[in-house]
Amino acid sequence: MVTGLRQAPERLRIGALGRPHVPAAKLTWWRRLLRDKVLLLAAVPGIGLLLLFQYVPLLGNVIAFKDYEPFIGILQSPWVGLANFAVIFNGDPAFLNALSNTLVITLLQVLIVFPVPIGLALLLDSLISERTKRIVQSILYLPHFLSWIIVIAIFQQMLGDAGLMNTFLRDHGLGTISIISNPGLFKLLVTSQVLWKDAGWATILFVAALSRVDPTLYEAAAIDGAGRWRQRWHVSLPGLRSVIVLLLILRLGQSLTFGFEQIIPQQQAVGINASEVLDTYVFNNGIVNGDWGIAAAVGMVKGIVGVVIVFVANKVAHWFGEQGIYQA
Amino acid sequence: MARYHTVDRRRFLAGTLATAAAALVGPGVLTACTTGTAANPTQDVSKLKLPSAIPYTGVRPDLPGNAQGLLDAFLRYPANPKRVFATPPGDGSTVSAFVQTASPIPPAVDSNPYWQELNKRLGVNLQLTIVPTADMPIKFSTLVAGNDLPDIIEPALNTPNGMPAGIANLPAWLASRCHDLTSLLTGDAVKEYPFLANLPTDAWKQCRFNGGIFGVPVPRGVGGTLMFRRDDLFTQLGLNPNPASFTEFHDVCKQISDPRANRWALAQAPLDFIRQMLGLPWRWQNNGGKLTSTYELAENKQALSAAAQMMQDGLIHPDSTASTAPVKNWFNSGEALLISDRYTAWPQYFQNNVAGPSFDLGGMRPPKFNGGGFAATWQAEPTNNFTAFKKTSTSRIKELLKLCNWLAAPFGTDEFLFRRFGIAGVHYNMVNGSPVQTQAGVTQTVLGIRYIVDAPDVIFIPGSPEQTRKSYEYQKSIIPTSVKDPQTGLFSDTWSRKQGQLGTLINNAQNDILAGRAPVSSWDDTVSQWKAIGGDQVRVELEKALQHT
Amino acid sequence: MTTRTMTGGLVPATRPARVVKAVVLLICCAVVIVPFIGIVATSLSTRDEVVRSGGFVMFPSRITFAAYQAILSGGVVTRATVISVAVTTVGTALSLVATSMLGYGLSRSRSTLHKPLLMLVLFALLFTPGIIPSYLVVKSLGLLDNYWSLILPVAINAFNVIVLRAFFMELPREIIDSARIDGAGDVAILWRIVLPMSKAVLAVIGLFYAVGYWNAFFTALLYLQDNAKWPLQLVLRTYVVNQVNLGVDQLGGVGGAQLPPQQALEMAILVLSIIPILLVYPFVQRHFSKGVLFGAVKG
Repeated sequence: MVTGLRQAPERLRIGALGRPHVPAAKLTWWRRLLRDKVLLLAAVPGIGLLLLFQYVPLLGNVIAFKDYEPFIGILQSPWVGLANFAVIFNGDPAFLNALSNTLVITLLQVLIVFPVPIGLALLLDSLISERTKRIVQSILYLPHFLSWIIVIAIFQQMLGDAGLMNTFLRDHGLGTISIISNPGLFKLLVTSQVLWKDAGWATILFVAALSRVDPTLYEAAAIDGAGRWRQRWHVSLPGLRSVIVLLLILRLGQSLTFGFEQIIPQQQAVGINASEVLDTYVFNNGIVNGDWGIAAAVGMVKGIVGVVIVFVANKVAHWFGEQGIYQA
Repeated sequence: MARYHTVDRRRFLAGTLATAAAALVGPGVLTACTTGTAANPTQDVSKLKLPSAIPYTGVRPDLPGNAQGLLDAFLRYPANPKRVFATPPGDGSTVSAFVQTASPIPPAVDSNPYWQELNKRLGVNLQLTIVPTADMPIKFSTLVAGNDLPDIIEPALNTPNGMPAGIANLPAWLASRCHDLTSLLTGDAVKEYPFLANLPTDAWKQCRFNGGIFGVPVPRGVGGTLMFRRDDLFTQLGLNPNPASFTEFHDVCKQISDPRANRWALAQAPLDFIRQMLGLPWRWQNNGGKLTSTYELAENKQALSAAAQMMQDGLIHPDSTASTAPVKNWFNSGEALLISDRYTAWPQYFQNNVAGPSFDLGGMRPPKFNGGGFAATWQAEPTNNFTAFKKTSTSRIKELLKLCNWLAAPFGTDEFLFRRFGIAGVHYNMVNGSPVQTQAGVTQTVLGIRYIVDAPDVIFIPGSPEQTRKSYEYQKSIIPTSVKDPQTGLFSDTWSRKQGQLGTLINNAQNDILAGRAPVSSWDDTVSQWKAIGGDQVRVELEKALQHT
Repeated sequence: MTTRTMTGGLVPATRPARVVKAVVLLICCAVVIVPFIGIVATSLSTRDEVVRSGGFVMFPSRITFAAYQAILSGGVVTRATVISVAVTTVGTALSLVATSMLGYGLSRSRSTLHKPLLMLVLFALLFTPGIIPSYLVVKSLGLLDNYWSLILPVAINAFNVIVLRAFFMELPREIIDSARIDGAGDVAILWRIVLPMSKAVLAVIGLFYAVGYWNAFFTALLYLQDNAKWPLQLVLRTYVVNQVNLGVDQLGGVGGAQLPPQQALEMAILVLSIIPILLVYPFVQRHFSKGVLFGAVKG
């Protein structure tokens, strides 16, 4: 099985997945290929699908540098160099505003929306009755299936100026609270919408991760006298840590992409200043004209930024002793 | 939040076309420099002879229309409707069409008796790709890009919200992929298709491209938008239904609005209504060939501040800015007593009312701002859309035009009755001259064929001759003084490409001012921006086009 | 077989802690449930109530199934449901197989081509192709208007691959090592150890894929020409049209059949499309109850 070994090593190290670790230099590339053939073959269907349906169309992103019109075709459309990128690199104050809004919202998401499912998962994990756990979870994830239009409509029904809450306040002589059309509250509104819609769904992954934690660890901790909180901290969280880090890195990598479907329908109520994010800015200034070239250009920039963020975040994770997405 | 399986959303975000509430997209190009490599054929239509207008006289309306734009009205569907086709016009082939729909998808042909009967009466096998209106621009783009054109194509030009879908190089695409119909329809050649000749000339103007005729129109009345008024509630509250000036209008609205009773005067900010009061044009003012945009006129700022004031005074429903606002519900339930909508919505409001037999609708004419009579209203576009044909042989096109001729059979004929309502007894039942649809009728008949071509619109509110008369009388009162916008019937390439972006800019600025987030003085900046982004260019192109008509 | 204490090893909560927990959970559930009550209520409401309440009814005084009837009559929805079920089942199976294999293939950091292939997957997550190029690729493969166009282009979700891979890499070494020493090859390890031990995460990933296929409408919109082939979500989408007059094409007289009010239809649609998930979820959830995993393996 282990071929190409010239001599027995002094120490037989066990590497990942239990294979004896032979220093790579001892094996030729071809031998390594043969050794890993099962793994590579297993990867073939998936990689094949990705190449065919993601990467080949990505070649079409060349229209970022072209003046593309659908009926002329990708190849025939004329080149315009970096003109399409001008929509973001022209120092337009509206763009900078959109960028800052996007970053603030991402920050809110990471600080507020990201931790909540973890907390919920821990809370659910500590429930004794499986049945309660199942019922609560089924309730909590329901909003995930609503489309954003519906979620927005619900929020407007509940919190609008003539919505349930304000009608109640008005009927009882109390002043009304303007939420939906308040530019200052918009970022919080949007964050709470994401929370309502997706927090329950996100707990699923964490609950699954928690279920892998060996119960004997809890028992051992209990025997050592650890109370609930210590158990949480020392047993549950470490079990979750790698999942948390992984998801956090992936989330950060996509931080420039935010809730287009969610924001556009609400822009009218609060105005552009408060609500414009990167995606809506690009939409309002390019896509709305059917500008495929601009769309591709911005997609490219976001992708590159995302890659940089992921690499950096991954490195940071390594400093904390975590695996991150990949090892160096 | 981390996304788990957002394939759909990520995909279309990257391609960046959104099917959000206001779908504003279409294929196109934004460039400051090049004009595209496709040859841009001349748009000079001065020498083009449009199809002769030969009105069909086989059906007499109860209340006659006129050439100015007043539509015919019918108090009931004519008894014993005429059958105007002796044999099916089709040749037994398969005809494919790409159309939009604003209704739920109908059952497929094998389980749709209406569709089967339609095929029989047309004499073809009709294959339809029916697309929800909001998704038209995307689907149309893929059709164009992949060059998989069906026989009949409805280009994605508008979404019913009133927001346009930007399309660039529409003329070039038409020139290279679609059939030039000029020789078959110009002048008296259209006599071969009598019901196409029945279509108003103004409607044909929308089909002029590349110096020729490149499509058939779907006509609409120019009566356009009106301010619907809950007459029953007005009477109940003892209000003046026809205020004579802006001040009176403001006062009436004040009397209506009572938040504690959950009642506001207006469902939306009446910006256009006030603009008409001030005598502003819809889009452009034509001074001997020179165009001024309505946004540049001084009265526009006056309109904005008046509307903003009304907003501040609490006369407008507070949730009106929300894009999912159920404005029609508010009108129907009495939460708002005034709503601005197209005249075609009259039957709908009537049908959907929940106030019972006392429900009454009317149209409020805009008074002159400072009094002294009624103001002129704006004429709307005379078409809803037009439909193009894939380039093919002349004989094939003639067959397709014959089908269109059938599809344009006018109101009052047997063909129209079938086309719109279905098979008697199955899809509808005739009650006192009004077709009353059954469940089957509601679900099966909405094939979208009315967007290929249609007969001229009429005023007909089934189940209520009184409402029909009212709608007719309203139109009669406004048509004589209504104003046609200079841009109607003209083509501007920049407008075709950029109307989405320009529209969004204006909308956003207006909303900010109405909501009090920006002062009226900020409008000047908006106008400069509008001009710089494309407004001036549009003006130049339109002035040139004006010279050529 | 390890014996579990009654509370799975956790110290039972103190009284105040239990109360706080209950209150928190109750609030969370209420915040979610209340609007859903409204959704179900609206779907069962008469036109009168829907209009009077401004589109969202909380406590209907009369119940009608008109909205559901309207949607389910005509056979369009039933046909579309069958299509959706088929696409979801086949798609999820295919996706799970391909994703697991790919995740396994990438789970050893020293294997050949590991880094490049991993980057391939990661970049697929961050760079998404445009609509028109995707359309052209599918077209050139002859998959237009074909049900496979709803499955193949989206069969692999890079996010799911990365998550699954991470879980695979965290499996306890000792078990795999001992299998290795017993002479098991990579295939056997995948089949007999990795997969059985990953039931929880496979269930979750499977759920994510299934929901993705079930909810998908955009791929269908792009790649299908024949309306008869539409899956459920796309059909239902035509009921939730952009705030325009639903049924503006209808001119039927008063008293005749009309479409039930738009909001009622929208809510009925929601309910119909959520029900299958609710039915399936308990089966999936069973796989990540605590300790089930370990109980099974250690025996």
